[in-house]
Amino acid sequence: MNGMFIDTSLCVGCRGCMTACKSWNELPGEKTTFTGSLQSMPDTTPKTYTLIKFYEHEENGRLRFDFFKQQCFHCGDAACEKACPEDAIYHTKEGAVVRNYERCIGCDYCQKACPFNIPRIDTQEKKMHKCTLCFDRLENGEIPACAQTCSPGAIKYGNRDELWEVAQKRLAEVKKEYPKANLYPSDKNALGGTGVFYLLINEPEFYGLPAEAKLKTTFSLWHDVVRPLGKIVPGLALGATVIAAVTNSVKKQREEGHGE
Amino acid sequence: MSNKIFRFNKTMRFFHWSYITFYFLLAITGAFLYFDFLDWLRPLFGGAQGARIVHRVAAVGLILSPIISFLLNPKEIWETLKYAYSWKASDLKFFGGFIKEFFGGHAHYEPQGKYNQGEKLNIVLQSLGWLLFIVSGIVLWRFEDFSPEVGMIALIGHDIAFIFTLAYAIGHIYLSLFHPVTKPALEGMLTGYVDEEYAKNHHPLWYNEVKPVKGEAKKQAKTKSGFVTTQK
Repeated sequence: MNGMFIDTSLCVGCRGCMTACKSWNELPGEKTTFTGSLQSMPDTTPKTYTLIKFYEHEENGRLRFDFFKQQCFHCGDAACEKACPEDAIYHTKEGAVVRNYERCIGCDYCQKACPFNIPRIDTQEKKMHKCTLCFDRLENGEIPACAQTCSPGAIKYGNRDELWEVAQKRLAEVKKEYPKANLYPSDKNALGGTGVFYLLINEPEFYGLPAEAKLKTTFSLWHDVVRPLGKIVPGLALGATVIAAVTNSVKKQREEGHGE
Repeated sequence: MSNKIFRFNKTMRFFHWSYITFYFLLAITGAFLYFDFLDWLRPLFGGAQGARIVHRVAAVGLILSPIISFLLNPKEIWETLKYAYSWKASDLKFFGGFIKEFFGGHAHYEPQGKYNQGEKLNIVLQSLGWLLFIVSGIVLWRFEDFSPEVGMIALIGHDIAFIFTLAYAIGHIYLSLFHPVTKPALEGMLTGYVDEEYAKNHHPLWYNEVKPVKGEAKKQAKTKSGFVTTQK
């Protein structure tokens, strides 16, 4: 299985990946407002699948830019896929988590379920949009557009196991300069093995990520307890009425038999 | 022909039938997201997007049905709720007998008032379900505007309200349409009147207060064992 490794210590914030993404997926530009930062726009949208987030802060009296590439993690155990009531989300054989356009009704269950709040709903079109890992390129033996274009080599696409080794080596090197550096998800098999993993130079919380990459408790409660109960409890009620209908008619026949 | 006893006034009948009309429209359009075997019904509602609109329109009806009923006859609704929410420990014994009778056995109950304990529980569950449906439904209505955490909790709340109201409704429908012992109650919800025999056997406390007294109408007054409805 292939995967994508995003080394944020190498990112220079050029946003070439964002442009390549827009270009390959034929997505229009969007208006944004200047907020006093070099951040292009506040968040991903149905028409912006990936976003370089700028974290500008002062360290030892010097201005620092730290970067994070926001996009879908392409989880092996994808909450969005499990939450979708229309079976519109699926894994391609290359491991990309994608949405079937026809089936999607834009209900937004996927966004609520996602541990990283990635899916975006176009409320006019009533469809969900997110990063597709360029599954159409993968099918044709190409690598994702963002990985293809990344000049500093921060986005790498290839054999997942090999990239994980690369990531471990990079982490050991980067730790010298950035003691807080870590791999995210820290566990190779978190969320069923994410198709995308990061080397971060700050704690996950610094980027607004959950400290640990895992399914949300509320999602598990809903998906593993409440939803099955929704089939079991009314089913039991229906079963009880069927049994009662039978026992009552048996009783009636018996009583009529006694009457004769 | 047996005598008839007045049980459900126009407000109660309006409430009951309007509420279940909206409830079933909501249950079917909502269940599209739950049960694949209902997919063949989708075109009736204009597909998934049509069903979403029907669900919202019916939701307004479900919210308004009890409110309009209350405005029509505040006393009746208030008294019914007060009665349904009054419980004492010995009331729970009813359910042991009920389960036996449900499956065709014979049960002895403590004398029941206008509503028996099972009917009281129905009112309690459905009214709590109504509240839970509304609170969680407001979030689901504008789902994109709420955070994922609030959204997940609203989904859980909406599902829980659906699970217990639907399960109880299934039993309720069976009892009113098919069960030999409780079937006569349906007439009360259709015409307002139930058989005197049924009233005497099933709701003796209430029957004793409302039974026709020779030559004069019984003074209609609320007592401790139940309440007497007015013909409004």
